Order: sequence, then structure tokens, then C-alpha cells
Amino acid sequence: MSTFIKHLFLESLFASGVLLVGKIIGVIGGLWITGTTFSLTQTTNIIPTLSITLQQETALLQVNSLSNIIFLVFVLLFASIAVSKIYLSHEVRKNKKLAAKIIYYNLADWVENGESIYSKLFAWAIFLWLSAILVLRDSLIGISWNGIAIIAITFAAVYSAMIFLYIEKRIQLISFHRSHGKKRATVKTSL
Amino acid sequence: MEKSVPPSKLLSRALEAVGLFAVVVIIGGTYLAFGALTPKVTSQKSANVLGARTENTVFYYPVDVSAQPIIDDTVMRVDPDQPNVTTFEYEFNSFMPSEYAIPIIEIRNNNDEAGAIKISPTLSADQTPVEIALEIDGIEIPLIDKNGTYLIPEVTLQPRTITPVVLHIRSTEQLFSPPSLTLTFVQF
Repeated sequence: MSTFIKHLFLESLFASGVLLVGKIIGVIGGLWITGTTFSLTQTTNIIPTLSITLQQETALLQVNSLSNIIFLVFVLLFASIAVSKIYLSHEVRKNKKLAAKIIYYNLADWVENGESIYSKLFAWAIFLWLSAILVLRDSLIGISWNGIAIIAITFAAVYSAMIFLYIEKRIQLISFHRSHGKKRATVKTSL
Repeated sequence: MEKSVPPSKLLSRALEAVGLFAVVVIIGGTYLAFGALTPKVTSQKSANVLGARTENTVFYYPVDVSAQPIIDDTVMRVDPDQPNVTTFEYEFNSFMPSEYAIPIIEIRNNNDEAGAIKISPTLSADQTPVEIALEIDGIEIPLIDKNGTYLIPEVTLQPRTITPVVLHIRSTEQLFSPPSLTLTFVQF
């Protein structure tokens, strides 16, 4: 299996976990903030499941909107952490003082290694779009404020554009090095 | 002449395909799990027909400030000698001002005519400061009034029409040792 697919799978698992934990925290937070009465109801479908049930439509809108806000903040926080690690890995190569500081403060783990950069960027782009679709779905069925969906879509679009520009820049660098007869080991492993 | 692909490369490609499929499964699973985690509203229409329960509430929170009655159990009894009499017994572990969707009434008879039913409430202990009313098709019918007087109202319902019924409980205080409530529906 290629390194890219392997890292994409692992990063997808992690991002999926982040999304679900974010939603759980969001729902608990939404119920706590609004003080809404809820019940855990067992439904007897093909697969019996427990679901959180509220009594009123207005309470549902409030609780779900707040839960989506908390969920979105949580997801964006983790996506930003992933991006900041990648950004830092580039800065470290350029700035030797920064590299020395990172070693001094024992933050070497915070710097992304070259193998997982693209898989990480790609996985987070997928899951940011998934978050935006999920929030949009809630808005369309009237159980979440529309503004949250707009913000989620904006963030996903900006993130995708950033990735696109980043990859475009890297491709230009690769083609420049190849045309000048310089092959970089990092290029080979990254793509 | 066609070039043959080495087995090691084939295995590697198969593993890559499995890896990509796993990513798609993770995305689908996340979508479904997110939907399951999203709170829902109690649907009265999808509730019960003549006591056949489709939903089973297993946990209420918060208990102390809740607007919900804490119903431990609901039993529906149909007397075989008197099939026109249906009794619902509610076992509460606390009474609070609340609304509760109870099993739906449906009139069935051979001539498809509107049926009249008499509803009588019984609390297992008297002198309980509880006011109880039934809301049938949006019309509220008192069963036990503010003064504790028991009423036995009659309502006429169309046949083969599922009628949602909401039980309203208005207690002036939360009762931690509440009596059980019995509602008897007599069709005549």
C-alpha cells in the first residue's frame, strides 16, 4: 500500500473521530446551555438505537444550532492544528533560528514530517466538506440556523482553495527542480 | 504482446483499492453516526395505536426541573368479556407539570359509525394536588379539576381515524411518591 493511502486512511479515522466527538460535545453543550429537557429513546427499527428526543420543535432548533456551532469550532480547531503543523514544517526548513527554538523547547513532534503532509491536507479537506454538508443538511431540514451552514461552507471552500494553491506551488517547485536537473528526495516521498 | 503485471504490484494495487474503499466507508459511517447523534423531536403521530408501543423511553434528564412525567410503565388492558373497555394504567415515579403523548385511540366497529367513548380517571390515592386533562384533537377535556373533582367526560370520535391524545398533568408541586393513574376508555 502506498504511503499516501496509508496516511490518508489513518488521518480519515482520526478526523472522523474528531467530528463525532465534536458532535457529542456539541449536543451535550447545547442541552446544557439551553437547559432543555430531553429523553433517550429506544427505537425498535431493524437495528435498535438510542436517540436523543426533545419535546418541542423550537427547543430542537436551539439545541441543534448550538451543538453545530460547538461541533464546527471543534472541527476547525483540529483542522487548524493540522495546517499549523504543516506550515511550521515549511518554516523550519527556511528559518534555522526557528528550528533551533523548536529543538530547544522539545517541540519536534509538533513539526509535520514530509510523508504525511499531502494525506493530512487531503483528509481534512474531505472532512471539512463533510462537516459543511452535514450542517447544510440540518439547515435545509430546518433544525439549524442557516448562518452556521454558510460559515461551514465558507471555511471548507477557503481551506480547499489554500490546499489547491499550496499544491500548485509545490508542483511548480518540482517542475523547476526537474528542469534544472535537481531531484529532491522530499518530492519523491511526498507525492 | 501484453506486459504482465508482477504479483507484488497487483497486491499493492489491491491494497490501495481496499485502503481507498475504507476511507469511503469511514466517510459514510461518519455521516450516519452524525445523523444518529442529532437530537430529534418526539413524534406523536408515530406513537402508538391502541397501546402498541413503538418507542420506549429509557431515561429522562434533568429529573428535578423536568417538565416531564417520569413514567415507569404503561399497561394497556382489554377485558375479554368487555372488548369495548380499554384501560391504561400509568405507573409514575414522579408527577410534575407536564404533557405526555399517550397511546392513540382508534374507533373500530362493524358499521363504521362514529363511536362515543367515556373516559374515567382513577388515582390510586386521593387528596393529591394534581390537575389532569386530556387533549383530544386539540380540545382539552378536564378529567380531574383544580378542586380534585373527578369528571367522566364523553367524546365522540370518527371511526378508523387515528386520534392523537395528550395527557396534561398540572401539579402544584412535584410529587416524589405519586399515585398511579388509571384511565379507562369505555366505548358505547
